[in-house]
Amino acid sequence: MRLLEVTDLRVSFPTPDGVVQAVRGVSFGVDRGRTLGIVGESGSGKSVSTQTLMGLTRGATVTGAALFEGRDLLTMPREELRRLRGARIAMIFQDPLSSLHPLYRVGRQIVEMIRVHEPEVGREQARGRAAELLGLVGIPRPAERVDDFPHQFSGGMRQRVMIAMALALNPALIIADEPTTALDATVQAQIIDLMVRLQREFDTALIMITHDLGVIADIADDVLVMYAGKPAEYADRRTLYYRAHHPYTTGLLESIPKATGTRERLQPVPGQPPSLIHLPPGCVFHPRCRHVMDRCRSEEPPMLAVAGEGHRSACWLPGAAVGPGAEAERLRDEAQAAGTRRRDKGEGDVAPAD
Amino acid sequence: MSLTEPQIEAVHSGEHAPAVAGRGPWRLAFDRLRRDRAAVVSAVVVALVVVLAACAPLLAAITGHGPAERFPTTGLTPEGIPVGPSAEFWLGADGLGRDLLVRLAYGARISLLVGVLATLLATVFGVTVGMLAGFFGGAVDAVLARVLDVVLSFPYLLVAIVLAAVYGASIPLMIFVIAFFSFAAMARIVRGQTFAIREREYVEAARSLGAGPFRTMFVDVLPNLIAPVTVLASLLIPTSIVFEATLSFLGLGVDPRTPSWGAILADSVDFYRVSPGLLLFPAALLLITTLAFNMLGDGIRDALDPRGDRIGTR
Amino acid sequence: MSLLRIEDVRKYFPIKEGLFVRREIARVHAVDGVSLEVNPGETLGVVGESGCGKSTLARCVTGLHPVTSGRIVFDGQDVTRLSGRGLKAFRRDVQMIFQDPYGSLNPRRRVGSIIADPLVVHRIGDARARRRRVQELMELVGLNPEHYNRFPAEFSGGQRQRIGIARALALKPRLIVCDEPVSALDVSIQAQVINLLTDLQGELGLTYVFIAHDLSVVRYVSDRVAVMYLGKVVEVAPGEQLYREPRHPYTYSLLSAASVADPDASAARSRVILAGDVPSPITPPPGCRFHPRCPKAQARCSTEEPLLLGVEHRAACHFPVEPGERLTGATRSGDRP
Repeated sequence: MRLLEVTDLRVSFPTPDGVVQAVRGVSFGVDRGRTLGIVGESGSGKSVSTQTLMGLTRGATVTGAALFEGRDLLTMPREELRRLRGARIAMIFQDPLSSLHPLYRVGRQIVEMIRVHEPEVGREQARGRAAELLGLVGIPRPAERVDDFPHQFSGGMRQRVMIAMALALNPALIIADEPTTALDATVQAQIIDLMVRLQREFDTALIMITHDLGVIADIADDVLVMYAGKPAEYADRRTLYYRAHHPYTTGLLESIPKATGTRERLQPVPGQPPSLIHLPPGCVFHPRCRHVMDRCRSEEPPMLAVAGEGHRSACWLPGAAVGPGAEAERLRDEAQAAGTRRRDKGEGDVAPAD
Repeated sequence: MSLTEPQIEAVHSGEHAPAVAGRGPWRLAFDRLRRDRAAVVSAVVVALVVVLAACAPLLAAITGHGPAERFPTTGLTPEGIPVGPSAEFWLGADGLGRDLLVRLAYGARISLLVGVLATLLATVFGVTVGMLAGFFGGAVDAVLARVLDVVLSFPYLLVAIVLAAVYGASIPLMIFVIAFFSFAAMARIVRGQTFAIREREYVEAARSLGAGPFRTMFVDVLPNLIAPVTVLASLLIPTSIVFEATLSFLGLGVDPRTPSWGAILADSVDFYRVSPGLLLFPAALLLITTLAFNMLGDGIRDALDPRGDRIGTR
Repeated sequence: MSLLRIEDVRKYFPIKEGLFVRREIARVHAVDGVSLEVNPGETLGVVGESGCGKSTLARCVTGLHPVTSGRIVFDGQDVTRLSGRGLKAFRRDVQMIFQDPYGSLNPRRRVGSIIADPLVVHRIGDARARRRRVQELMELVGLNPEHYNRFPAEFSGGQRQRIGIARALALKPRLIVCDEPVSALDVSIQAQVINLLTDLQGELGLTYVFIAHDLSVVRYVSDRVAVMYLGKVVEVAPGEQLYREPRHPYTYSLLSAASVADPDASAARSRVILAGDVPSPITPPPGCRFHPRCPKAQARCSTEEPLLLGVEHRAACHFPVEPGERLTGATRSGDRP
C-alpha cells in the first residue's frame, strides 16, 4: 500500500462569474522515501490539489478519494485532519513569514507545536528538541537562536526554520509548495540540498510543488505535469526530461533557454492558458498544441500508458512518439496527417492504463 | 482559501472566455451588483424614497393638503387629538392638524438634498486634501494630517449649536456643518489609499515617461480612488441624513416650519401616546432609508472589491 | 563610442529615525560605485541576487532615482543632473519595462490610453495620429489592435507584459532598461516575451540593459553580462566567456548553484554551496564584500578592496578562479558571526 494514494480528485469553486473548475480528475501517489514533483503553471491546479488534501480549500466542492495510511483525508472529520496535519503530514509554504507568528520566538513556536501533538513531552525537553532541530537544518548557534523572533532571520534562514518545524514531529509526508521560489539561487541551492539530505535521513515522502523545472530536475523521483486542472503527463524524472510524450511537457522544456548557451530561437507554447470557467472542448491543451488533430477538438484524452514503464500521458498522439528524436517526430507528423487515427489500432503495443 | 491573483486571471482572461470586449472594471462591478439581491432591494427602496420626494407636490395636489397647511377641524378631534390614518389623511395628521404623509414627502426632499449635497461637498474636500497629502507626503502631509486631527477632535454638536445660534438655522449652513465634520474621515482614507497607489509600478512608469505630478494624480491616482470613494460616499449619505435629522430634532437644523424628518419626529414627541403613528411613520421611514443606503453601500463595496480587501474600513 | 556610460555611480538610501527631528542614522548602500558601459545595439545583462542593487541601478539609469554621486552619461551628455526640458528629452530616449505585469498597468484605464501615455505626455501627434500609432504598436508586439479599448484585467500576464513593451516603444527610444521583464511570467509565456524582445531589437536597432536573476535567461539574451553583489559589479565579460570561465568566485558559485532543467547535467556538475546569507547592505563587510562567504578568501581579502581589472573580461578579485580550477565551496552552512 502506498503512503498516499489520491484518486480522481476534483475541486471546484463557485464564484460570482461562474464555477471555477480548479482540479478536474487528478490521481497520484507517493511512497516513503520518494519524492513526487508536481509541475504546472499558474492555474494548473497544482497547489489547489494538495491544499484540498489538507482541508485548506474552504467553500470548494470536492470529490474523489485521498487515502493516507489507509484513511481518506477527504471524508475525515475536521478535528482528526487537524491532528494529522503537522504530526503525520507537514507543509512548507513559499512564504515562511505567513506561517510563522511574528510575535513569538521561533523556539516557542516549535515547542508549542510539539506539545500540542505530544502533550507528554515536557517543556524543557521540547525546547531541547527545538534547538536540536534548528541545528539539524543548518542554523548556526541553534541554542541561542531558538530565542529569536522570525524577523531576526533572513529569508533563507526562515525557510530553514519552517523545515525544522515541519520535521519536528517526524512526519511521514512533507508537502512543499514552491518552497524555494522566493529565494535567491545560492540560497535555493542550500535549501534543496538540505531537503534532499533530510529526506534520505528520515525516509520521509515528499511532494514538491513548483513551476520550476530546474528544481524538479534536482529533487524529484517522479514527476506529474498538470495543465488547466488536469494531469497532462506522469513519468519518472529522466523519462520526463528526455522522453516526454505530451506536447505541453515538450513545450515547457523548449521554452527554457538551454544550459549549453546556444542562442537558437526559443520555441514557446503559443497562446494563453484557458479560462477555468469556460474550458475548451476536447483536450484542454488543443488550442495551443502544435500537433492538434481533429479528434483532440472533441474527445478529451484520458491518462494513457505510453512507451516506457509507468509513463502515462493524456494525449492522443501515438504512444511510441516520445522524446525529441527524428523517429518520434515522424510518428507525430504521421499521426497528425492521418488526423483522427486511433492509436490502439495504429500502435498495437499500447494499452490504456487505469 | 480564496483564489490567488493568477488564478483569478486565468478565470477572466482565458482564450476561451466568451467575448468580453469592453467589460471593464466598472461594468464587471455593475454586473456583480445586479446579482446581489440585498443591494438590488436596497436600490429599489432608495429609488422609492426618491420618488416619494419627487411626488411631494403631487401628493399635496391629490390630497389637497399643503405641507404647512393646518386642518384644525378635520385633522384634529374635537378634543384636539390628531386623527389617525383615514381616507382623508392617509397616514393621519400631526399635532397641528397637518397631513403627515405630505409633510414626510416634503421632508424626504430635505433629507435627500442635505444627505447628497453634504456628501458631495465632503467628498470633493476630502479627496482633494487626502490626495494632496498622500501624493506629496512630507511637509504637505504633515500639515494636512494635523489639520484633519484638529477637525476630528472638534465637538461637532457644540459647534453646530453655536453656529445655529449665531447665524440662524438654515439648509446651507447645515450642509456646510455636516460636510465639514465628514470630510476628514474621507480625507484620511483617501490619503491612505493614495499612499498605497503612489508606490505602484504604474505610477513609477508614468514618472519614467516624464509625466508631471498633477497629470499623474489625475490620470493614474484618481481613477483608482473612485472605488473606495464611491463606497465611502454611499455610506456617508445615510450618516448625513441621520445627522440632519438629529440637528433638526434638536431644533438646530432647518427652519422649524420646513417639514424635515427630524423636525417631524420632534413634533411627535408630545403626541406619541395618543397617536403612535405620528412617531412610528417618520421613524420607520428614516430607519428604512438609512438602512437601504447602508446596504446599497455594502453591496457597492462588495461589487467593486470582490476579493474582500475591505476598502474604506481602515 | 558607448551609448550609455555609468561612471562610479553610488546610490545610498538614508535610514532616518527620530520623532521630531529626523536624523539619518544609517544608509543602505544599494549601489556603491558601479561603472559600466553599454554599446549601441547590444544587450548588457545584469545579474545578481535580491539586494545586490541591480533594480536600483536600473532606476538610476532611467532617472527615477537621483544618484548620490557619480555620473550617468547618455550619448555623450551627462544626464545625472538634468531637469526640465533636458530631462524630458532624455526620457524620450530611455524607456523602462517593468517586472510586474499586474502592477505596472493602471487597472482603471483602457490599454489604448496606457500605450498612448508617452505620446500624450510628450505632446506628439493629434488624437487620430496617436490612435493610429497605438494600433501600430499593438500589432508590433503581437496584440490584436482591435483590443485597444479593453482594460488590463482582460489580458493575461504575458499579454500585459506586451502592453508594457508597447508603451516603452511608443517614443522610439534608443535604450530600454528591462527590469526582470519575464520573471513574473509562466514558463511557457516567458519564451514568447523573450522572443519578442529579441525580434524587436533586430527590427528597431534597440539597445537593452536586461536585469534579471535568472541566469539562463540572461545568458540567452545578453551580449555581455555584469554580475553584481552587494552594490558592486564583481565581474563583467562577454556572455559566453563569463558562463564558461567565470573568474570571480561569486560568479562561479552563482552559476554552479543555479538549477537547470536537465537532470543529467544537474547531477553531473559539482555545486558550490555558499555558506550563509548575503550580508546587510547597511553595513557591508570591509575589503572584498564577498570575503565572508568566499571559498577562496584569504587575509588580504578582508582588508583590501579588489578593483575591477581586465580588458574584455574584468573581475574584481584578488585570487580569481583559474581556468580549469574547481571550487568546492564551504561545506558548513550558516551565517558567520
